[in-house]
Amino acid sequence: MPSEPAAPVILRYEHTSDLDAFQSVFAGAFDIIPCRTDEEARHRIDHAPQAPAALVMIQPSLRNLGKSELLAQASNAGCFRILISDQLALDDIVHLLDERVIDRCYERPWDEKRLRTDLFTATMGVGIRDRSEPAAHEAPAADHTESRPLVLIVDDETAATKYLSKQLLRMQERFGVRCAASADEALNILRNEGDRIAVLMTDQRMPGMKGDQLISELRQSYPYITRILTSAYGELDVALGAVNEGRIFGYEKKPWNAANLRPVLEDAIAQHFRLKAQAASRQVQTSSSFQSSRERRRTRLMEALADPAPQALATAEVIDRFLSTLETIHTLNPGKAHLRALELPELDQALIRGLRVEVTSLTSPENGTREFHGHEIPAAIPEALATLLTASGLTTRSLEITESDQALTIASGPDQPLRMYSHLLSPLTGVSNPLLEQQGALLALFIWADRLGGHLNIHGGQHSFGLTLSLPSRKSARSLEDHNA
Amino acid sequence: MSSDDIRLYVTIDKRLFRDALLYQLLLEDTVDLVGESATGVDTLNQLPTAAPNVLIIEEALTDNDGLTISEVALSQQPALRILLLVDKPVSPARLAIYLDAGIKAVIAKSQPVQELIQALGYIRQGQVYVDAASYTTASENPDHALHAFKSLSAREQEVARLMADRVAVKAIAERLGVSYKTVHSYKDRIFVKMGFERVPDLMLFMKRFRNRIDL
Repeated sequence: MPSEPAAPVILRYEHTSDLDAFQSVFAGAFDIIPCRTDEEARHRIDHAPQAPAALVMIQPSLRNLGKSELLAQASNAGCFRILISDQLALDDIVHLLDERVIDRCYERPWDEKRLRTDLFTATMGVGIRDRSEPAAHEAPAADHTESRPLVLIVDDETAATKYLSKQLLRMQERFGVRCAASADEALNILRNEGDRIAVLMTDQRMPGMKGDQLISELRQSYPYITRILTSAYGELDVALGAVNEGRIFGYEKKPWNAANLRPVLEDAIAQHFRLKAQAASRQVQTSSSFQSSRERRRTRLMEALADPAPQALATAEVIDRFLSTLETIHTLNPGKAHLRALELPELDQALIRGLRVEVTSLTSPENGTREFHGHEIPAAIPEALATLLTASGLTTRSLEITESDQALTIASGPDQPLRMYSHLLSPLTGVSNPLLEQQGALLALFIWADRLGGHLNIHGGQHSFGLTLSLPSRKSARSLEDHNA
Repeated sequence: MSSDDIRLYVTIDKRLFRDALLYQLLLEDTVDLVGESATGVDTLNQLPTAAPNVLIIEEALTDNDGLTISEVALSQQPALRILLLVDKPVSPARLAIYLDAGIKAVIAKSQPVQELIQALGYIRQGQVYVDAASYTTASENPDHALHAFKSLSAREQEVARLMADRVAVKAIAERLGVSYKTVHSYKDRIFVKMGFERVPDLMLFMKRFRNRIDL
């Protein structure tokens, strides 16, 4: 919650100069608890009035970090663990990060802005989200029912990849191999065969896009493909960025040896299937918790907006028809951000309050009427339509207007559906003015259709809907004059 | 242009604000502009063909919510890096929602343009950038650059003044009776001490400093 003081940061340091340097930069922004020993730090983690957000270790002894009780305790307490050192060997770091012994690792001198971002996100509880990815040693839940998985090897030295690929294929039949000579070629293969690729192993040094950039791109676009970085050079800084940001599974030195690589690749494939299975079960969980909150919101909206509520906007039948219509408009799947927004207590109230303001002004009889294609209609109707059209990047010209003696019909064009990227019953990240305006406009159209004895039909689509509004014909005075003339 | 250059798309409602920002960003030789919009819905229509790798988008757009548009854009192009421009500094709870939604950096309109450029540098590498100082405490002490200027040597101050008046390096060298190279090393020192990266930063500072504009 914004009003509470931010969670403290535990600093485990060896040298007073490190403490001073750290304090001088971060003391203003964070509540820092300096600790000279592991014991002291462990005590503070247990006894701090508020659970610490992060543990920063500046150059402690790097030996046996994997068995460190302090790091284990910090992990249990939900601390984000950052290691800063200048005695780093890349293999060790990859191992420490991969086994989730630490969450981030930096060389000295540290990048102040990076570290600040990490600490700040940790105090908000965002930084530790990476833990939801399982560590390599967790029990496998492999699903090998799909067709044979593929390993994609990316390196501009095509002779080497060709040779390695041949050797690997001769040795085993559990996975296939694809080769790419550049990151661009790799991305092309991913576009065509992304579903089958379980592991990508890329060299760092290539013309064009570098290995760490490819890995970073992959993490966003294909998060379940296990990533392995290889390099013939000891480029610690580059590799550090990749392991911190891209969450690589392993770092392999060149030259390659097929016999050594085979078990690594098989482990990486198992990791791929574990990640996929976990993501699927997480999505099911997220969907089900969103489903229940959506039903709760629907009930609340009915109770607050429909008769007999004190400030009801319409009959229960109209509100129910409006909400059922929204359910047919498909929007984004729920994710972490939406679940987090649900924790904000004021979200539903803000929706109800905001909607009431919009709809009250659009349904007030004081707005009067105006002429629309020769018909006298409430001025709020073209106003509400304009809101929905603007949100869709369209103008009234895209509407199809037909009139008969009985009815005036206003419909969205068949090739130009209206857009709706979020609505009252979709996963929300907050309450914005455009959202309230669109929802208010649509509900106002339902209310006017009901009042005037007309019909509003909505056909929901993906992020879109088609609209048909028919109103009983009521020729405007001018139109009748024209007619008589 | 190399592969890690920024292919930028900018979605800002107000034309004047968008233009002013673009003038600044296009001074960076790693930035290429591939598209711009005033609305969210137009952005989603253009993104597939413009194929940017970085999107700067306002949260408070008039047609649709900028954050919702960002979420839809990310569902279609997950590798897109998005910098969200917000009207004012936001609470940590709100910021957490942005980051969980996949936003890489958040900049408030009250921050100096240099911080936005810095954020671009980080998200270009796929990193997250949020500056705790800008959200939790008052913005950086505006006197900082002033102190830095006062600590420059008399010669450095003179070079800074001439540069801000857009006198060419060659002309500065002639006027001061020193070599071309010496002027360049003055220039480097001035920029490091003042924390500037480009001549326009220095020009803006000198104007404000001379006219005693209180920031």
